[in-house]
Amino acid sequence: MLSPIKVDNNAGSLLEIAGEMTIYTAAALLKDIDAALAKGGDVELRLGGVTEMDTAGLQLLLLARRRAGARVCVSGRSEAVERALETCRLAPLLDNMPTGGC
Amino acid sequence: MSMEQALATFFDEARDLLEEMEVLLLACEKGTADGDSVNALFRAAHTIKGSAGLFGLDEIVRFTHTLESVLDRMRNGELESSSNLIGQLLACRDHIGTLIGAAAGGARPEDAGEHGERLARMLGKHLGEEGAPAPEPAPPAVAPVAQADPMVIGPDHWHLSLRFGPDVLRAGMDPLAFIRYLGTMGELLHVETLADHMPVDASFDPQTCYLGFEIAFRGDVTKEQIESVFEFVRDEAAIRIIPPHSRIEAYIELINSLPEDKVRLGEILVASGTLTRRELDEALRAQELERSAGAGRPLGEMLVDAGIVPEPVVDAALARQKRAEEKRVAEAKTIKVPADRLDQLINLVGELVIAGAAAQLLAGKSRMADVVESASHLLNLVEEVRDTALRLRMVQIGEVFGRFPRVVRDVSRELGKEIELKISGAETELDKSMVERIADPLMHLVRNAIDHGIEPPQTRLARGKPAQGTIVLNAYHESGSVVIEVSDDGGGLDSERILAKAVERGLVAPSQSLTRQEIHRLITEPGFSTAERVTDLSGRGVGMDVVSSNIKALRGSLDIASEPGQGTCMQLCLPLTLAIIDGFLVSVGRAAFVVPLDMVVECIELNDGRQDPDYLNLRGEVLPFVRLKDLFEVEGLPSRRQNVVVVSFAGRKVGLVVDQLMGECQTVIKPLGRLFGKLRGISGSTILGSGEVALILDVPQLVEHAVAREDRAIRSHA
Repeated sequence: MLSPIKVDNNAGSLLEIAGEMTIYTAAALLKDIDAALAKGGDVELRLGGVTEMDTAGLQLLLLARRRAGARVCVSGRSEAVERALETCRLAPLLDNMPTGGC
Repeated sequence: MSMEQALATFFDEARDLLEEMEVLLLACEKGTADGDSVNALFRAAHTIKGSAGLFGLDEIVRFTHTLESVLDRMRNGELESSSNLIGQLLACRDHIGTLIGAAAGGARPEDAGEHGERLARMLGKHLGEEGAPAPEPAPPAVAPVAQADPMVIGPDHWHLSLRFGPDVLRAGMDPLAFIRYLGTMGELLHVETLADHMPVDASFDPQTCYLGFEIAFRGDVTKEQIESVFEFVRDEAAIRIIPPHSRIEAYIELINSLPEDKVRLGEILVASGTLTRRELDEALRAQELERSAGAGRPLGEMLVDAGIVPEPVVDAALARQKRAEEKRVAEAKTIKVPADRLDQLINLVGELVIAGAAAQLLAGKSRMADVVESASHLLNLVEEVRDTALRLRMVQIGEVFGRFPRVVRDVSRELGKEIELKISGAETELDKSMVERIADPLMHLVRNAIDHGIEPPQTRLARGKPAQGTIVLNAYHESGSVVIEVSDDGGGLDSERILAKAVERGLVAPSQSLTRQEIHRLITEPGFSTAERVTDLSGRGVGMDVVSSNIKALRGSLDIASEPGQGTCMQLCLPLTLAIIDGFLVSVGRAAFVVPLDMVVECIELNDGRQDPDYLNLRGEVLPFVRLKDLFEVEGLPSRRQNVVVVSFAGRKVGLVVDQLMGECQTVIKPLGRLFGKLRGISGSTILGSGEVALILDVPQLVEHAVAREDRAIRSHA
């Protein structure tokens, strides 16, 4: 199930992901992330509405981080996201990213 | 194998194990035990329990089980060894011995059941004590907030290395889920997510898993349990589980405690829990592949290199394997043989010797060189067979010596004395039948040494001696005899007291003057005892004379040497009883005698112009001699040329005057029969190759005869 994505036309992009962030949605989400990053400028990933996150979803976050470095920030982590990050202790990775209002 | 035979084997083995346990317990007490000793104790008890269970010997099983539990606690370090505890364990071991003896058909003491209950209660106290509290349940998988240092294999952490494989996500599984599940079994102390293989460019496939995980995990689990977490991804994933360092100790201990039938390295490792069966199969498969490719490493090396098993554990397993192998090889080296079969064999060999001698004689008469040579060759082989057969009956005296450490320990404790027992010459061999008959006399001598010889610690200190006394058991071979010495550094024999007692009992006239040797000999008179206290062990005066007569019955001799204040040495000299001996044939008149060759020192001609009828000057030594013609009242005139065969026994030399020297011969000792039991100087008879009968001289008795005569002569001149 694809999730609604809002894209702002501001200087930075906001990508709000809701629903599953799993292997089932990974391919589509990758496209969206790529698109957002291609726009240039900062990208904010809002994850407040993520209901489920698996390794595939995690990989996407990592990928975004690696590709765009400081240009990417994460905000509004949902419980699912928190849990996933906790399991593999990757929270610091995202803690180091600037949060909200980037 | 019949049930009876199996049971008999069980009883034998159980006794061996109990002996082993005793040795180990004594060593533990002394502090000379090594780290493996408690393990060995546990194994011994465990084996007895298991085997007893097979035969339905429930009482033994129950009791041994309690003992085993205590030993288990000891080897886990939950129970500390102490002199008191060892004493209790020894008592328990004894009880097991009693139960086994009763099961084997022996007498069952009436209070056995009660005694067992008491001991079991005593053991129970050690088990009931709350040592380590029950392990705490694993905390819920809440990750600690503060991240620990980067991965360090601590003593308590398992290390897991997880590479799930690229297709795990496509297969519908999520690594995170596995990790979470693992977290429910213990504590995930550290998780490191590795994304090295993740491409950042367009080749990134969102459905491929690129992540690897290194995890430090703490939990009260086995390797199997951890492995089972990843059951469903096993085929594609590379999962490596390394046990914590503290576990290594546990694994090594486990390895050392495995029963001996595990000989293959892989099996040992799996049994210890350091390797899962799956890992073993994989490793073996990999080994196969390597082998078929021409290379091939030993399994242990492969496992260590692959990081599957820590090196110290593999080393322990290899050592264990070696020990098991050695034990198997050693066991295969000995066979249990029924004693009567052995006796049969020796009888036959005896007949063979006689027949061989007869054949050689006839061969000589034939004057055909090749026949003579053939007969000679035959006789040589027969000699070898004889020697080998006789050696089969030889047993190390260490078997008997083995009983004494315990006796010394128990009795010295009872009497409040400190005594150390030193044993040497335990490998000295003697005939099996002798070994059994010498045990009681030796026991008595040792008890005497403990009871009367060694003084109480205060007395010793007052005399300037070390508080701890020493008793030495020594055995060695000497010119055809076995010498066994029991010596102590105690107070020595009190000649005055002995003499006084002897006079009191009318054994000696008050005016008689005796040498110190003779005074010492008095203690072997029946009913003699100078002990002031009659203890449980000795002092009743029934001991030394029984010892002395037992030794005489074995055609041995007892020598007593003692220095007041310094100590006593009891020396037993026993002939190496051989059913077949090498002899030296001599003739006296028309009679033929055989002198045991190993007691012959030399032969010299006797010039008849001797002044002294009884003594020879042998190169400056005074040699008493015995004229066999006179002694045995052989008829006929003395021949003109006589010879002296010098024999030696227990360090004393005597010359036997005979007519002709006929040379060496092999003879089979045929006993004379009870009619001739009191005959002194003759120990048996034999059939010569010619068919004639020759009498075998009893050299010890002849020597004694000569010595006694010497003493009388000295006294009559005194």
